[in-house]
Amino acid sequence: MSSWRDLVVGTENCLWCDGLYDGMLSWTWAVGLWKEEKLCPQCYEKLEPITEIACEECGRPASSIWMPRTEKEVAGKEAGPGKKCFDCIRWAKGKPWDECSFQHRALYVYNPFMQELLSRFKYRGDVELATIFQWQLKKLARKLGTFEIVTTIPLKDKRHWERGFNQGDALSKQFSTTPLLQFKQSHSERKQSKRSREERIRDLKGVFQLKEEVIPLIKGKEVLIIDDIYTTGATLRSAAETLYCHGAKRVCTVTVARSTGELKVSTDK
Amino acid sequence: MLFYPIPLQVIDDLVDKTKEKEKLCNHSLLPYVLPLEKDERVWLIPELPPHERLNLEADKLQSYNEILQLLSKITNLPSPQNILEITQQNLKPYFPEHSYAAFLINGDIKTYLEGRRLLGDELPISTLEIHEHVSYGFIRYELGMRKQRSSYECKRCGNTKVHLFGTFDCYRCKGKCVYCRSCIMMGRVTACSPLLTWKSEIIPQEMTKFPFGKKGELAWDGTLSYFQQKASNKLCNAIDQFIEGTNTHSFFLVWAVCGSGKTEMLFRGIELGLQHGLRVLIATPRTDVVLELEPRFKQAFPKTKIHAFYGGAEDRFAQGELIISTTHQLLRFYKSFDLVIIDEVDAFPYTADKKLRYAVSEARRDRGFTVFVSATPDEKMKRDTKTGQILCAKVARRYHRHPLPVPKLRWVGQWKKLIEKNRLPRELLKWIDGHMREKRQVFLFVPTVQVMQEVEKVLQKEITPVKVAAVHSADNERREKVMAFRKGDIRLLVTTTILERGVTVKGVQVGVLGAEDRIFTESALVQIAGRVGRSPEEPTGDVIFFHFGKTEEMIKAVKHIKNMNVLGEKELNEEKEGLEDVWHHEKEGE
Repeated sequence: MSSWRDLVVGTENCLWCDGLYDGMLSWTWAVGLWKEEKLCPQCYEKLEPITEIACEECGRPASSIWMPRTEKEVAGKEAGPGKKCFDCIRWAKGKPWDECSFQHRALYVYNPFMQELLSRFKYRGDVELATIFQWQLKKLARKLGTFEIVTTIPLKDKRHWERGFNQGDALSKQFSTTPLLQFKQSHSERKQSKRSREERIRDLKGVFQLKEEVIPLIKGKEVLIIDDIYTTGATLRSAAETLYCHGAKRVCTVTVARSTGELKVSTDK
Repeated sequence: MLFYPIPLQVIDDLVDKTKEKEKLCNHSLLPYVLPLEKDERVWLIPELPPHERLNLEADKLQSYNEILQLLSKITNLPSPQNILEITQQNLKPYFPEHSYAAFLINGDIKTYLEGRRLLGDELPISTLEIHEHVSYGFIRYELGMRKQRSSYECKRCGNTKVHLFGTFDCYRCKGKCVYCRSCIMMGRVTACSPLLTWKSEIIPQEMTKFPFGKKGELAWDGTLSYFQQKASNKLCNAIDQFIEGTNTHSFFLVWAVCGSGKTEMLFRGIELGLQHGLRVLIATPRTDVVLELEPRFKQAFPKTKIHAFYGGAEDRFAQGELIISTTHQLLRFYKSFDLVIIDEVDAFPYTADKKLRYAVSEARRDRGFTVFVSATPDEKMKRDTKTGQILCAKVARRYHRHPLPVPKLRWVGQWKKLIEKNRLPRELLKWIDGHMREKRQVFLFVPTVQVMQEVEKVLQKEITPVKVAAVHSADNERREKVMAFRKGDIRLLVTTTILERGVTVKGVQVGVLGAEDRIFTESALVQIAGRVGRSPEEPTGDVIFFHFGKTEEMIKAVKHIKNMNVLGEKELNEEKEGLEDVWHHEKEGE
C-alpha cells in the first residue's frame, strides 16, 4: 500500500530497508506503462539476476560453481546451448523425463540477500515482498512461450494455516491461476528445506495428484507452474510429472530464486 | 482466525431452555459465568483451524459441533468473522472475571503469558485449550490491529504509517487481510489475529506488598561523584514516594551529559525498587547496550533474577525480577512493570525513540514509575521539566570533572560538488592531516552511506600511510572494524551513525562533514560531540562541524553544550562550598 502523496512527491520507501529513495516518476506513469519500483537502488544491487544459463533445461546460471565428481559430470559442465547439466542428465535417465520436456527458469541467484528476503517473505510472512517479483515473473514466463494454464504448488493444510498464505499464489498475482494440484493422502509431514537431495526426490515421487474437476482440462495443454525457489527441482518436477501423466503437452516452471548449491537452503525458524 | 460472535442473551436462553443445564454451564466452549447486564456484548467462539479439527479427539470435536448446533437452533448462527470486523460493528467481546475455583490452569500457558501479550502462533498450545482459559477468565482475546481513518494501527508496535502495512489473501480469515510490516520480524500481526493477554495482570493489582528484602541487595561498592550522588538521592526520593503511594509525579528525567556515569547513578534507585518487590525494566533501543548492561547489573545485583531480552537471546519467555530488553523484545510485554528505566542516551538514529516510547507505555503497569535517562532530551521533555510535569535531576559535569569540549563551526563551501570530483575540502584534509601527524585518532561523521563510501575512497588516496575504514550500521564487519579502531589499528574511521555506546577511544577527535544535513539534529550533534574527551587522561579534544551554511540545530547544539558547562561550573562551586561547610562544622565540633 502506498499513499497518493508518495506518488506526487516522487519519493518512495524501499520495501526491504524502508529507506527513502527517488521513485522514477516519468511520463510513462501517466500513460499507465509505468511500473512501480519496489526496492531502492542499493537493495536492487544486492540481487543477482540470472543473465546467462549453463543448462537449457533447468536454467542453471552460468555463474554457478559446482564440483563435478565423475567424467560424465565434466561433460555436463561444458554445457553449451542446448546442452544439459549433470543434474538434468541424471533426471533424464528415469521416467518420465526420458520422453517429456522440462524447462525451468528463475529470476535471481539464491545468494545470501535472496535467502534473507525469501525467509522474511515465506517464514515471517511479509507477503508484500512478492510485489517486487510479480511483474518480473510475468516477463520471464513470456520468454518461455505462452501458456494456457498457470498454476502453483499447493501447501498442506497445517503449513498453509501456519503461514497464512501460499507463496506461489502471492507471486503469481499478475497471472490468472487455476488450482490444479493437491496432495495425496498420507504424505510425510516434514518440511522440504530440512531434507537432503536424495530424501527429497524419494519423498516427492508422486505426492501430488490432480483435483478431480480439472482432469479433463489438462489434456494437450501447455502449463506453467510458479513457485518461490528451485533447489533440487524435486518438487517442481514431481508436480510436472503429475501433469504429464494426465496428458499435458508441455510443462514449464518459473521461480524467483535458483539455488546453486553454494548456499545451504535455510531452515524454518 | 475467525470467531462466531454469539450474543450473550442467546447463550443465556440456551442454558435456560436445555434440559442438560449442568453440562452446558461447565462446557469449556462457553463462559463459566454470565454477567447480569448483557447489552451489546458477545461471546467469541473460535472457528477451528482445519488441521486441528482433523487431529482432534472424537469426543471433543463432537462436543464442539454440538454446541454450535444447539446455538444454531435458537438463533441464526452468525457467520464467523475476524475480530476486527466484530469490534467494528460495535459488538463488545465479553470476558468473565477469572476463577480459580472452577478450573485448573495450565502452568505452561501462565509462564508464557503472564505480563505479556502474544500472538496465538507464539504459544505451542491448541486453539481449544487457549479458549478454555478464555472461558474461565484467564486469557483475553484483544485486537491486534485497529482501523484508523486512513490507515491502521498495530496494537503491538504502535505503527500507523500507511506504507508499513501490507495486504494479502489470508488463509485464516478467507479474505483480504491487513498486516503490520513494521514488527513482522516478531511474527505477523494481522487484522484477523487476536493478541492474547493473561487476565490476572490486566487489572493492575495493589503493589505487591511482600518485600524481597535481601534479594534485591546491591553488591556494588564503588563511589559516586558529588554530582552523581545528588542525582541518585533525588531519584531514590522519588521512587520512595512512589512506593509509599504519595508520589505527585510518575515521570523522572535524569539529564546527564555524555560520560557522566549514568548506570551507577541508577543502582540505588533500582535497589530500592527491587527490595520493595517492584518489577523493574531497563529498556534501550540497542542490542549492544543490553549486552553491555547485563553483566554489569548481574554483578551489581547478584541475588536478583535478571534476564536480558534481545534478538537472538535464548529463552524468549523467561520471567525475572529485573528485565533488560531492547525495543523489539519489549513488544511482547504487556502491563508488566512498575519501575521502568529508559536508557536512550546513545540512541541513534532518533526515530527509534518513538517506537521505544510506545513499547514502554504498553509494557508498564497502569500505575507505574518511569525514569528517562538521556543526555539530549527532546523539546517536549525539556518543556515538561520546566513546567514541573516531570521531575528532573541534571548532571552537568562528567565523572572526571572537566567541561565538555565545545564544538567549532567551519564553513567548507560546496563539499558535495568537490566529492563528485573525487576531492575533499582543503580545510578538512588539513585538519585530518594535522591530527594524523600527531598520531591521534579521528572519527569522521557523514550524513549518508553514499557520501561515506566516496569520502573513504578519497581519503584512502589522499592520506596513504594511515589506515582508513568506513563503517555503517548495516555493515557486516562492523564489530571487527570498531574493535580495530579501539585498538588503534585503524586511525581514521568514517561513519554514518554512532556505532557503539561509549566507543571510548582515548584522545579521539571528532569531525562532522555536512553538519547542515537534516539528520544532524541538535541531539545528534550533542551526542557526537560527547564522544570526545571521555577519558580522564585526555579530557579535551577537537569537535568540528564542517558545514555549507550554519543551521539552527548546529547553533542550538553549541548552546546546549555551553549551558551544560556553565551549570557544571556552578555545581563545582557548590560542591566546594559544601565541602568547606563540612570542614567548618568539623572545626567547630572540635
